Amino acid sequence: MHGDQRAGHGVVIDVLQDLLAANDQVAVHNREHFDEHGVLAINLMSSPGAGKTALLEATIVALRDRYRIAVIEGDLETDNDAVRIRAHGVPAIQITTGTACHLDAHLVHRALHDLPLAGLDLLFIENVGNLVCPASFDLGQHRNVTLLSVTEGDDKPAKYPVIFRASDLVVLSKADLLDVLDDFDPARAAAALRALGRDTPMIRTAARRAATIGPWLEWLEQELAVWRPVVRPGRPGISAAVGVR
Amino acid sequence: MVERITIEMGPLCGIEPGLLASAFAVARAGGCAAEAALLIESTPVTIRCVSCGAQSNTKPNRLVCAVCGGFRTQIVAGDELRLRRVELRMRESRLAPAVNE
Repeated sequence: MHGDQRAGHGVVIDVLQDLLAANDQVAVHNREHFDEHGVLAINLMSSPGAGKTALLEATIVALRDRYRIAVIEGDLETDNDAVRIRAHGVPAIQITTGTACHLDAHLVHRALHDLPLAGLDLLFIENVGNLVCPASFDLGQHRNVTLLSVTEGDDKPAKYPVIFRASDLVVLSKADLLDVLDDFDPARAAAALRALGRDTPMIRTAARRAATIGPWLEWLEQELAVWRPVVRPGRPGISAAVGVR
Repeated sequence: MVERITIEMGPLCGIEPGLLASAFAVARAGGCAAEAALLIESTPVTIRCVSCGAQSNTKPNRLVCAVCGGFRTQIVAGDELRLRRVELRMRESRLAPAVNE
């Protein structure tokens, strides 16, 4: 604090502190944990029902032999999603948020106590299905990925600029339904995304057909490859360790 | 006693000023800020173009450069959520020693 001034009988204190500072400090702490253990943390966000868990299931099946994966699941109620993930032989921690519509850094930090980070390559944090609040809370993740299912409106990036602007990748999910949905135009979605002033890549997936999540897997492997050597220069990169590339 | 709290916020911070104001009325109850007023200063969305360097004010969902149309821009202002200022009213007996000029 600084700039104390007398104003009549009162005192004016200029504070200039970010109101989310407490969250952001814990997020930095979480990120340090991830970096220390060489874990790439990905925050997965979308509307409810866009297919986050289905995408994760297909991803785990495709990558579990090459990478050690864990998932933190955020939901208001039930551990249904964590049960789905564990069925694929991957550790999953369920955070039930009650009436809260997003995860914050403290909730993730608490979950990390139950999740041994040592030995992990990839941590997915499946946020609460919501395109509004999750965008405002840094969890300590390295990348933000937002799903936009083609059963939603193609103007979603224009309606929810904060979350789409914060995304490192936008996944058009359920893209196999484009054939039967004449009101979702991927070009319009791309234009709305582009209008947010970042050249965020947009890819298509159809998680129920494992063969069509290829672009998503490529993106993940690319991120693992570029990210890993930077934070853990003393250890061989993932490409050397598992023979990718 | 807290007399007034000033918050600086932009449309891209993800918080609605009106909802924050109504939540504040509940949150302030019972403490030293029970009678505090909340002043919200809105900042406009300002972007800087990475390509041509121009700075422009714009809408939250229109973040491309207004001058050259470039889509690689940085947000200069409009995404902050900041406690700007706190104004206190000191009790008479504590006024002189407590204030640090």
